[in-house]
Amino acid sequence: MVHKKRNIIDKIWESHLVAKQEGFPDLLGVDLHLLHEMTSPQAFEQLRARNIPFHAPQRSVGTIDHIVSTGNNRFWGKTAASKKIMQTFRDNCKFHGVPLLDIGSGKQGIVHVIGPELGLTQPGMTIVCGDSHTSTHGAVGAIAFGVGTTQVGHVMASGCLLIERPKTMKVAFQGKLGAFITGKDLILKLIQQIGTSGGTGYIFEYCGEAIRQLSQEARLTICNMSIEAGARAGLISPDETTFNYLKGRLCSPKGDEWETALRYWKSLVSPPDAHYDASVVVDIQESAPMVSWGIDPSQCIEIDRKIPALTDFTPQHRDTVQTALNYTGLRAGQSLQGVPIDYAFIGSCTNGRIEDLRAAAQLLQGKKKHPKVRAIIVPGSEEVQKQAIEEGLAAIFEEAGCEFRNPGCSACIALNEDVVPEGKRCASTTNRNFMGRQGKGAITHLMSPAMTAAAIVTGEIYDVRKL
Amino acid sequence: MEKFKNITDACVGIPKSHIDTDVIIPAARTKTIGQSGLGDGLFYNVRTSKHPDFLALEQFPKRKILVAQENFGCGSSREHAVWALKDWGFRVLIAPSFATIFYNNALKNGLLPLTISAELVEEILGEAHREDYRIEVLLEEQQLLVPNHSPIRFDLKPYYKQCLLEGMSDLDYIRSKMEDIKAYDQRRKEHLFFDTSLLVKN
Ligand code: SF4
Repeated sequence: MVHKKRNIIDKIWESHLVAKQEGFPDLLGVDLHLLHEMTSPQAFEQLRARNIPFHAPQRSVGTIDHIVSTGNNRFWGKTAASKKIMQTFRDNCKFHGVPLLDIGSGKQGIVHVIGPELGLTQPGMTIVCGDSHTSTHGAVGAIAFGVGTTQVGHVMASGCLLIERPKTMKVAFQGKLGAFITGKDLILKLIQQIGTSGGTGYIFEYCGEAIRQLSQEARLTICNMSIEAGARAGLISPDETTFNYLKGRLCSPKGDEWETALRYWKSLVSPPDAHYDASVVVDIQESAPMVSWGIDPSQCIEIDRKIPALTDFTPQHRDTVQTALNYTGLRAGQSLQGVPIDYAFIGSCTNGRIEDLRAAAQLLQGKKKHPKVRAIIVPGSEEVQKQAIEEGLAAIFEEAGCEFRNPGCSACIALNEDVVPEGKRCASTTNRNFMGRQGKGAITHLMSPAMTAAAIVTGEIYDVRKL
Repeated sequence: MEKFKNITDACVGIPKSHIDTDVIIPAARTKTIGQSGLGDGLFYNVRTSKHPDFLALEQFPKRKILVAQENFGCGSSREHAVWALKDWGFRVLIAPSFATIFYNNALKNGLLPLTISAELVEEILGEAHREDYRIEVLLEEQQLLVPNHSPIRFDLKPYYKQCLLEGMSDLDYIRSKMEDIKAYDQRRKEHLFFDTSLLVKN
């Protein structure tokens, strides 16, 4: 039998096995459990009902992000419901000794933005959170995935997760990055190619020269949307870019411990001839910035192409496509360039990091937003917000007529006051264009921060390369 | 979770494929905090509108075996669909195929989904109205006894078989491994390089 070389996913999985039994799901150790206010109350309740202690509070961190207002004076919540949820979460964290990065601490933010930012998210780890975009953390070389509330309770009770081992898929991007081609464009291109269930049952490892060229933050954007391709998780083998990013962060190892950690992290990297259960190649040589036209993230095109004709889809799919087009008010065969927008949103765990704000500010500097557009910019964390103010980005946004608000999930999920009104069209840096995601009847066009900035200036979906 | 006991019963037949979780329980019927009482919402819209394919539900409200066609339970991953079926009184589901997430959710909640050939499902659906057409489910033996057929073996992962036989939930199983977990926690420490206490100090 040929000896199969293990990839990084195999190595991490096998080193976290707590118990393994034929015909049983694996019992997998969880290194870091991230908690937020929305998916934890019922799990805490499970512990209380069965009188079980919280197993590893020192390997857990909580923050408040989903429901929080992005306005001022927001600590106590602005509605009775949000107040109750936030207070319950604070009480639970306190009672169980879970460190809470609360509003105003300087460390609050979207859970998937603050993990890497604080150096909590490190290579070789298993990371779990009751949120599907937990896959983001895979970008530093960790296995990270979202779980349901029942499983959040299991992790609280045991520090472990009972889970069937997924298969592995190598996702190789072939070709060099063109102008204004970002992590967002690469991941949308993949999802367009393999569909929203193309990754079902797999953990992805993203490879290729383009990935190596990308910054750590751009890699976070890619891993963030692994879930939109149906994958359980997605990761990238760490390299110098990753190590430089992590060095010196608050929770990163220091001194001798850094050297020990580095040796361990490097030992995990996939060898070039590693074995995978499946593989896919995405050609990005000719690619252009991507924009979505429908109601799932696979329904997207290069900005210089046209929405496909109905006859380009298989007969079973035409109904779905027509439903999508009816919702977004577009036609098959139409170009997206020039479609007027009403709203623009820059933020979320996909594109709410400092590099995203820099990319947008660069294009907005000295310009004004289109008068018909309401543009909302929401930093992913208090740290990003602070940096954006210090670097003068906030001033650029405000001079351009955009609103620069306080950190949180905001219009990505519209659980707070940042809601796109019915029938309004929004250029958005988020990850989901589902019907009603940004507000009932709101139309979402997923795109990169640069493309969103171009839309803010022109008031329409616009090819940023021509700006 | 209660232990699964072998069942002999007549069936409720729904001659329809791709029954999704929204048909099983409409979202508007899921707004409760607990899991009990959801049976009232089971197939609510199609049941109350007397949809011809779903009449057997009201006709035979006590039967424990539900038979339907392919891809049963597609749609959202909401566990409410399973809770509602259980709360109504079903213990066994029979279909040519199930949606994956639904299938796992069912097993996690002590509801046994059985996959058999489409021809046999068709045959059972044809006879399901009869009170004397009884099906037997033997868990230990992994056998299904259908009138006029020799015993049919069904597949079931050993883990789920044990859960059903012993009435064991995932959390019960995890907690039975507490010794392994403690040993693992000690081993793993060597490769953990973060200190969350820094978050509250600074
Ligand atoms: S920003 Fe959006 S996708 Fe990310 S965690 Fe918040 S709600 Fe979920």
